[in-house]
Amino acid sequence: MVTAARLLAGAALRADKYFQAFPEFGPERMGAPIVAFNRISSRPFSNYSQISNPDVVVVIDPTLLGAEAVIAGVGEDAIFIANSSEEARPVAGRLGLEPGQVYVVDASRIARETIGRDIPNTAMLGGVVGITEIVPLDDVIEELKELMGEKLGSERIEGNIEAIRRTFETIRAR
Amino acid sequence: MSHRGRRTGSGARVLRAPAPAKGTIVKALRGADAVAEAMRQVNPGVVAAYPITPQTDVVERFSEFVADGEVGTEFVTVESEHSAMSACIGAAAAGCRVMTATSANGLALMWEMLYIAASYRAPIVMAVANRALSGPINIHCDHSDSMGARDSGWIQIYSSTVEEVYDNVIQAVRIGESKDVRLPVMVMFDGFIISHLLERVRVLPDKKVQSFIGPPRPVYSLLDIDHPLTYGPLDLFDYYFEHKRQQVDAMEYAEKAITDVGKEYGQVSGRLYGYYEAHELDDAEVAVVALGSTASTIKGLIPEIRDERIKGGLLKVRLFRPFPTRDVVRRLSATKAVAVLDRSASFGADGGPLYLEVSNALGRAGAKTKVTNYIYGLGGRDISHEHIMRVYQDLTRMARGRLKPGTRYLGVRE
Repeated sequence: MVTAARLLAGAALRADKYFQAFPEFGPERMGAPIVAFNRISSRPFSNYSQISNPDVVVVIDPTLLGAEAVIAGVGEDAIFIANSSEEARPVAGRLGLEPGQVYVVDASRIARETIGRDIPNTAMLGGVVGITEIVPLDDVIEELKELMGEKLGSERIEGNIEAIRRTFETIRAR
Repeated sequence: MSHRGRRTGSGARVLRAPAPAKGTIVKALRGADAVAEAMRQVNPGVVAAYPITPQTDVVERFSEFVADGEVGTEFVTVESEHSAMSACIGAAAAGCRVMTATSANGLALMWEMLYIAASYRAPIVMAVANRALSGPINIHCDHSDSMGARDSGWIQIYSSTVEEVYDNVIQAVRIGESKDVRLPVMVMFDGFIISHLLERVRVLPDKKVQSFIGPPRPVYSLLDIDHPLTYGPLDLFDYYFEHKRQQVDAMEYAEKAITDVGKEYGQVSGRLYGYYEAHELDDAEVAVVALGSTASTIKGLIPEIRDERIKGGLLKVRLFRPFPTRDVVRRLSATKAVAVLDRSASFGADGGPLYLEVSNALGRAGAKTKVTNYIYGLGGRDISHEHIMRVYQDLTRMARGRLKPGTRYLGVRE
């Protein structure tokens, strides 16, 4: 989660954009819901307040889709991207959002098929980039290789890259 | 970002800075990484430190540099912050270049040693990731830790972005070691808000940093056996007062050293540093004084404030010790109303520590400016754009005599 925000920031740096990435501040517990944030802009900005009205919300854990916290501060213009095997419409209905602002991608299934485990974080990045075009896909992939290459090894990196590409293409196809 | 061409003051970091240094690399770093990176480039003789959230990441990362042989530092792992500062003082007295880092309760545990470091004129550089003091226990940002240490004799520099804390740590080495100054320097950065935030940092080449700081030049070294001397002897009513008077002088000399080092750093890095930063103050009717990350947030909001037809400016305080009293008077006495934002409370006092300085400076200068105080962000409570807009709106009412100055609290349940 925090790594996904870190990857997006690194990709923004490669694209010569201005960015911030920060976790929800405070102690972390294994398994507890966690939140991480990004600000990305093509121009310099100076803002160190917390983010309360996001332009884009990404929910990686589908079990959180009923939680009130995930729609806090989400306005009509915001984009909501969820990891879910459902269609966008019922997800939007449950969250009280407009169907047009909700996107779903079955990142967990794609992760199982590409990485071999239900680790949907990188797969979700493909969806985020596919919809928002905030950074080029290639920059995300290059950043992933550099940041995680040593830790994951070449086989798992390839799986992660495949996951990113597939969610990117799936969401672009719609 | 500004659509009207931001004006900056003479003491400020100006927009038309010299060209960036050759070999500068833009990296994505968190505040804690940036401090560790600066420490790696400084390559101090001794680091003694004890971990405490949110400073821990600084020490962790630096200890990796030590383990990997990227620095030649003697890294002393100690059992407490009191011991960390004691070890730093000993090493500095021996003639070493010394650095450390801490936060909140760790700084509190160093207390008696802080005064000793300053009175030994030991130019130790310490990064402080600002965090609230217990109790109740809280790990998030406010400035009560370093504000409490304001009278300990340390130079105090506040940073408001990740890049600034990197730049300030490097400059602190030169400032503290300057001739006639020889004082320890604290470099503050907001805990979590800056320490755990990843953003762009223009990292200088190692060689540039090394040539900027120069080799350590031990003065009054305990290891210089040809010139034996004593540190910390009994000093009663015969000379203690004179020694304290010299510390006062050293702080005065520091003002020039800070300005000179900031200019020279600008030549080396392309990033000029002044004693303070001024934004849209030239024609300002009202102004806010702030430090730390909040000052950066306000800076980003100034165009919006101007769009609201508020002639608002910002004075960002970089140095809290020595305090820029003359600059505050020069830049703010023409304004009608000034709000001072404090991220710490001074219980029983007539406002927060920054407010007391600004209010005193303007009052003694006979300025007619109304000065008001806002306490905010204790224990990491967020300061939002709405809060800041409210401050500027309050100021315009104050300037017209429709609101009385006083101490108010932003974002607290009352």
